Amino acid sequence: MKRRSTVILKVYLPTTETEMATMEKKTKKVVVLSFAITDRGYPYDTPWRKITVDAFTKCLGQTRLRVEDIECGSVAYNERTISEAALGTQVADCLGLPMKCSMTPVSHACCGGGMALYNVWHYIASGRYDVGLVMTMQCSDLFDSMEAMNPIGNHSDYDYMLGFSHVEYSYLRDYLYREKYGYDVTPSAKWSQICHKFARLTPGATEYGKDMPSYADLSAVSDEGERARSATARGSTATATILVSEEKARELGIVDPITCYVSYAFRPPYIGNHFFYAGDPSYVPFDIAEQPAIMEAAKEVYRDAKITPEDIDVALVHDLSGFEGIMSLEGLGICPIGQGGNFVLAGNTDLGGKCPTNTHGGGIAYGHTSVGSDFQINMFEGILQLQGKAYGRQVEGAKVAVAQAYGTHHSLDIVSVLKKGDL
Amino acid sequence: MSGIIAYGVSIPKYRVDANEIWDVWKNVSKEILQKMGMKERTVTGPDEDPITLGAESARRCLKQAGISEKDVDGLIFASETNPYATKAAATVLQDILGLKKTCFVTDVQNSHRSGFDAIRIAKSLIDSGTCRKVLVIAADCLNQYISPGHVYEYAAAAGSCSLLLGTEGVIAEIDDMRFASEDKPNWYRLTGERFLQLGAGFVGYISNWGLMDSLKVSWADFAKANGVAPEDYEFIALPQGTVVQSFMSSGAIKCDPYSAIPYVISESTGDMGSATVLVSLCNILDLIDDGDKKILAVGYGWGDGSAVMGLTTTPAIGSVENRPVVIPLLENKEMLPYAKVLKYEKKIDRNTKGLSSYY
Amino acid sequence: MNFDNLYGPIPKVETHNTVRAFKEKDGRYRLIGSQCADCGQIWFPRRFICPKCHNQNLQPYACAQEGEIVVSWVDNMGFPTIGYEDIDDRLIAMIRLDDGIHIIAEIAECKRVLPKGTRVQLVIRQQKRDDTGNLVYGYKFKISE
Repeated sequence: MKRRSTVILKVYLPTTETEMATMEKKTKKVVVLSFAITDRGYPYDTPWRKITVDAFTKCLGQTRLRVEDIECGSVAYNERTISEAALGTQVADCLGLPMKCSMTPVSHACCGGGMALYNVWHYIASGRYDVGLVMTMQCSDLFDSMEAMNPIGNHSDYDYMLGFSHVEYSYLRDYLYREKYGYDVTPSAKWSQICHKFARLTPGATEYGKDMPSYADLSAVSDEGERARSATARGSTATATILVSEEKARELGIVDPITCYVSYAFRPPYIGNHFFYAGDPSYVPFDIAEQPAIMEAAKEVYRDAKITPEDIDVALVHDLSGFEGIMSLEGLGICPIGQGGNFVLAGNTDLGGKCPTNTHGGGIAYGHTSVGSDFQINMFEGILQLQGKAYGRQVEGAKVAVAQAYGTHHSLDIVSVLKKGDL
Repeated sequence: MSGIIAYGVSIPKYRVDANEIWDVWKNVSKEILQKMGMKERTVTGPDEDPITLGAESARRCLKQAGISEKDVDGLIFASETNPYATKAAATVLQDILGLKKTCFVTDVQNSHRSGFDAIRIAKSLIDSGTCRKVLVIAADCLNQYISPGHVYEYAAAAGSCSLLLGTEGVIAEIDDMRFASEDKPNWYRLTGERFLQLGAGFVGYISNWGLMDSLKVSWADFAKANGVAPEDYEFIALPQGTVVQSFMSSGAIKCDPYSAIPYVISESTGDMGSATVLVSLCNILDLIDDGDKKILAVGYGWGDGSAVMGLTTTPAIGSVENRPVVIPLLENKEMLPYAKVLKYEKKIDRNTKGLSSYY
Repeated sequence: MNFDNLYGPIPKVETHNTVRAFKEKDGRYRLIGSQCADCGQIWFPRRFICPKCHNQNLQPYACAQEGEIVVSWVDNMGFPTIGYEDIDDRLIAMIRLDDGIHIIAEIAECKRVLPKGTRVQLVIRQQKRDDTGNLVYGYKFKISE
């Protein structure tokens, strides 16, 4: 809707406030009914169907719904590990969903989970369906933990990837950000220190129950230091989320419902083209050290949710490296562009700071599961915070949470706003 | 008259010290190693082969010529270590260089003498009017095809030389070329074999004395046809698989070794196959600023025979910019330990059926 | 001992097929991108519609073969990229070509981070083999002569 399309397509763009208001009226509010993530440590011989079923049953078990009540859904997967054609049908079949239940497969890199939510959100917001299922899964058949994914080239700009992996893109981006805005390694060290602290308060985290690394280790300018500041591994993971329409939420009598809003934006998949983005002239000064796709997505979702960045009580961002998280905060408008490093150094992302961030520990705690849970884990933490169930890491009185995830070196970003007391 | 319009050379950056190899194998007496005159040799990086080396020397050659790649209407790729056994590697180079599709493109494989054979064909194409400008790319990676522990490991190296031939803007005219060939069971690799072998042995009759026998025939033919004597040539590029080979060759054609020894490059590069003598020729062209200088280039291919080429420079050679070409390449180097050489030359048997070589 | 060792193993994941690699050879060999005949904007890799003016009148465009480093990083983390394992300490760089195109590429034969503005030029090297084992050649860069 937002992007001006080709000469062939004439896209209707609302021009007046009345028109905008009319459009917004047409969408229903979408409520998160329940959510679940599989436990860590699946045996290596677990097939993807088993992981998917586990997440789904765990999620459905929290509700009063039956399998037959699921009307629509979307499933995010990674084409690297799951090669079934018409995957939507395969998933619907393995979960025993009714014949009428459509299941749209999404392969959208690491933010595929966000994209599946985006689909189901629209199915419900449009009024056609009342109950929708969002599935994500990542199965370690080949290579899909952080360590194993490192040596794999990037799936986007496939013909021209020529041996460039996630890690290489990530480091180039971090170094350019540091050079452009004059930071040393300390903002990333501080970020990871806070995340390590949160990870020890999050029972689902890989780091839970382990010793806290010293700040000296986290700020070391070495390969070990870089690893200590980066996301860890998790392995096979699946999540399930059930969304319902506002009417259905009332019908089910949900107490304190959490509504969600979601938006998506992309940049050219070839990373060199991040230095010239034709879409919007205001993004011209930006390159890989800023996040225009997050800005674009955030702009829309904030408008839909009727919030401003100042209203955000807790932010959950995709941080495979510390600087990546910092850049995301800038993209979300939580701090000015280029000031993210100072924002973190001032302790603003810790509990009691201006915007507590990644209170679950982020990538350090949950690891990089790609499409498995990279978006969902942020969303689930946001819901826990709004429900007041984040115990030792609870942000007091949290009413608005933002969850974000990206795919393929921030060429695609999903931003979601979660609100409490919105119905 | 047809001749060389421009030249370009490429030599891998990596080198290995002959003593480094000797410390591992000790398969030849130090005395013989010193007599061979091998100090170090080039090593290809893990991503290099005759095509990549050839592409680089050809780019430099076209840059020196200052012509559009669309003006080239012939390309001959001369190599005895062509990665493709059937398909033409020259077509890869044609596309890499952006030559036009109607260009005459072919590979030539004829042992170390491939480069001379390619020049012969190119000269014929030009003299007959079939082509106007022909690019000859001689490139070899012998180092990848010599088994570890083989004595020739001290010498087998990699490099490339490109020559643009034509009739306009010639810097060195090719006066004549003469060849002598004979079937010799030496220096070969049958289909499916991984490594080259010196069938008749390293210091055997065919390897070295065969060189002299063959040279005598081609030189006699050349001298008679052109009415020249060895003394007429101030600059000579001789076969130099090992440095001692140049002395032997000078004996065969009875020339003053000191017309050739200053231009020998193989003590620091090793044997670059079909490119060796041509790189030595470029080394000579680097040093000449005047016309009417006589150059003799002598090629020898183990297993097939010899070639003699006489050249005369033109005054245009004085205006060639960015010379010397060869010396900076010899100086730009990085020494490698032997273990890394084996890895880079892919001589260690590894798992090739896994997800990758390491996983 | 077999030839798979000489040419490198055929990687089993994320490997181009022969024909797909063939279709993009001009881009890999000579940095052939696209130029919009209407708005003049240049693009790499090649495109079939101009994202700036949305016309489809795109012509092949040969990008500059020299440029300078924007940012670089040595990949020595111990997880060499599949198909490129033999290259130890690979230097990866974002390069700004002289015509303004940005390109991510490996810097050949260099094992240290290069400062911003270092001049580099195009070279052709072997890339990862394709899924039938054919050799794939493509661009890398090296420090300018």
